[in-house]
Amino acid sequence: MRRVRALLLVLAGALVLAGCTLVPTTENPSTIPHVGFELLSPTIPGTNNGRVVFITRPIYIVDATGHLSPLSRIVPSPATLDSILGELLLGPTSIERFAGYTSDLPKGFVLVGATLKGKIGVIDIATPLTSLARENQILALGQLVLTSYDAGATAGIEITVAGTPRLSLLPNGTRQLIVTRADFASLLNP
Amino acid sequence: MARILIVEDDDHIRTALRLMFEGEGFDVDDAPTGELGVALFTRMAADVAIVDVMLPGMSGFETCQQLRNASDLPIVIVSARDETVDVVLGLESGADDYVTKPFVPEELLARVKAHLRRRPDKSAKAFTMGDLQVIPDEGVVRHSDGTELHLTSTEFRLLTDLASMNGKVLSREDLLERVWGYDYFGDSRLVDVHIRRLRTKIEPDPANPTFLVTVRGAGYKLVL
Amino acid sequence: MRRRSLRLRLLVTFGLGAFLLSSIFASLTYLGVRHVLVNDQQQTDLRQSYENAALIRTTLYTSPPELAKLLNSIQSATASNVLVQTHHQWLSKSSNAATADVSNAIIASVNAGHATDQTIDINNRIIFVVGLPVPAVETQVYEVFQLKNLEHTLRVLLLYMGAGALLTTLIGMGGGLWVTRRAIRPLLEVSEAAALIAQGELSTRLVVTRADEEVQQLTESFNLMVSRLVERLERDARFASDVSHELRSPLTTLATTASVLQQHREELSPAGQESLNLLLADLSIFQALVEDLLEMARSDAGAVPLTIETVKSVELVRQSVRSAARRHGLAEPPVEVAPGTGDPLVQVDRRRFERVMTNVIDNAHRYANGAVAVRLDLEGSQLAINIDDGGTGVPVDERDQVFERFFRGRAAHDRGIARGTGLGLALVRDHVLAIGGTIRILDSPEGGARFQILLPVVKDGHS
Repeated sequence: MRRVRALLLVLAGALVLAGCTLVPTTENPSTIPHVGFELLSPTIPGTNNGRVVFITRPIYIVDATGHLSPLSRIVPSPATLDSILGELLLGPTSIERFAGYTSDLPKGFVLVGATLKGKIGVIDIATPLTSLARENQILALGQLVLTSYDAGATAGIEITVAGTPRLSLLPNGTRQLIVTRADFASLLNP
Repeated sequence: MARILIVEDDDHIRTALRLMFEGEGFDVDDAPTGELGVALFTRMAADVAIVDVMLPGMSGFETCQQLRNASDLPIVIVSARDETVDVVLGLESGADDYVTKPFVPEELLARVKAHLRRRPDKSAKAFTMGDLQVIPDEGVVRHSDGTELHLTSTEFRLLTDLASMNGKVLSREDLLERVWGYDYFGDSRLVDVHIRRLRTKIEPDPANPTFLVTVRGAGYKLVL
Repeated sequence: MRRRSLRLRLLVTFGLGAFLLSSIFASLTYLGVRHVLVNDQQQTDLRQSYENAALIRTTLYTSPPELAKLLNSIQSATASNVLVQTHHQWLSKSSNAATADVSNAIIASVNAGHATDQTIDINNRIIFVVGLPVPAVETQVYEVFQLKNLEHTLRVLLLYMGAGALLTTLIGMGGGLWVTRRAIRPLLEVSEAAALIAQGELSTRLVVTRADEEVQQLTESFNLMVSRLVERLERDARFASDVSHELRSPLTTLATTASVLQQHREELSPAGQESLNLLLADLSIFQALVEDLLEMARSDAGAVPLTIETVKSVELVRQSVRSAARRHGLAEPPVEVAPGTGDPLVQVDRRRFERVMTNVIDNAHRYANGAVAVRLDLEGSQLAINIDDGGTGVPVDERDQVFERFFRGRAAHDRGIARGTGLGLALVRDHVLAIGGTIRILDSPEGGARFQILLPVVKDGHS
């Protein structure tokens, strides 16, 4: 009788303890057998075999020496000028910043839109670059030109502020409407 | 020569007793039943009686009562039982003494003789108790109106012995010695019942005695 | 084995039983509810993660730059964090998301193409992580759900379950207490009644009031048993008195006729006279034996009730000694009262006390040259009545046995004097015990035996 009683006590204790944990956690992840929305389908449902593929494209930012340097970013393909510039505006990651990379494009820099007209990229921004200091202006512009070049704007870029084209400052001091890669080649890291 | 009445239903015992008392010089009247015993007494008037409690027909207690109503003679009851209730009943019925069977015959003989010998102490002074006047040398107790109160010799002796103590206490054992006899192995119940009987006769309120007073743990005394 | 209280055992059993049952019930309930709640939450969260992943897929297809905004809006709407990975790199995440929440194990599984989930405890935060591969857009979507609300709900539930179990246990114990009392009470009543009966209150019976069948049975059986016992006792007592009556008459005749013969002794021949002597001698022994036997039988059957009186001990002892001596025609031993004893009151049945003294003195006379003195003294709160004789004393190994019926000690065998009935001292012990005293044998100052009777003294005695 005594043993039975002891056993029952232990059982009760165990049950009680088992209940003491709140939400049960698991050691290992478990697979979900059935996923909705056809998420596992290779193509996007409702489209004509639509897929998105990611490619790597460079963006140009300012390295520790003050030159322009490329860093790779993953962007969905086809990569539009818009998306690559969007990546550029996000600036360096914390790791990259730790390594000394910065972006002269200010935090509040708003890209209204960026389109390719032929081989020229038209970048519409909200505030003009002239609000920056001279060196920053040139570096920022350089970032834009070089990044756009690798995005398909091989003939250069044109900056518009709220639709109105503006002249851009070159490293040599002159102002031009359309600036090209060659103009800023001197800023590249050799 | 003293005359003794023996009322006993057992033939053998009755015969043996008759033989014993005749051998001592008594005149013996014997009867096997209470009725015959009373009838015998009425005719022969014995001086002392021995009555067995267990009798056929009229009981020994009733026999005792009837004898007591007729006379002051000493009555000894004989009983096979020693129960207090029987003893008390017998004494209340008017007996002066009791003996249990089997008795030592010599003892019975001695008691009977002692009861016959007992006479009021004539030397004692007369005294008054309320309405009653006690006159020891005449052996009578009188009411103020002259009527006599009947007491057995035992009761009389008890009363006068207590009176002679002038209000001092006598223990039961003392009373047994003095009233029932010196060489007596008696029973204090005798004393208690006789005191109670005496109270019913002399006390104005027997339940609350004023003359015959009990002293707890000691005995009795007579307050005059 | 230690005696355990039944009451305690019942109470413990009830309490334990209630505790066990209630905790089992509470646990099972809690576990059941928890299972349901957790499952439901998981299903909901999974569905949400599917929706979000689909949204992300669409966004990546239509306007990839909107991704970050989408993730943040998901976060603000649902308080779960979303992270997106592609090509083994973090592509984007909602602002409060922490990549540390997503373990490598999950990432590995998702990269292998399996939709995966896991509930993890990170720094006492419990999170539900869902990882979904979205091959159509080459990304893996991870959503981290905070289970704080669920935890809270479960905590409250556990609290209530616990409180409920405790309450039930207490009620169980209360119930146990009630049942115990109800069950035990008849037992206690029976034991009380039995104790009363053992003390001699033979009219004690259990009252039949209860409705419970078993208790009623017990009551009736008990009462029946007591009635039978009382009948038996009364029968025995009646037997004793019936026997006494039967024996007494023949004995009376024997004694009386022997006396008559004694009266006519001279008329007998020498042979006749010698026979008469023997007859008389044995007749007196016979008579004494029958008297003792009858008294023993009556005392055994409890047939003769005691008349207890409170009396002064010194006078009582003096008179008893005197009566005892006179009864047997012996010399009366002096009664000495030790200084400081006073005259304490004792409660005795007078006649029995006298009987006791008589028997002891008679015994001293028979076997020990007679009693030398009776000495009174105080021993603590008891009165000691010491009957000292001048004999050779009682051997230590016989001091208990002499009080047994018909015991013949060495002294009796040595001497050829008139034997007693064998019951004298047995009666003495019975009577002494009946009046609440004790008797024992010690040594007397004269070298013989001291029979010491100890009687309790009544409290308001004056010294």
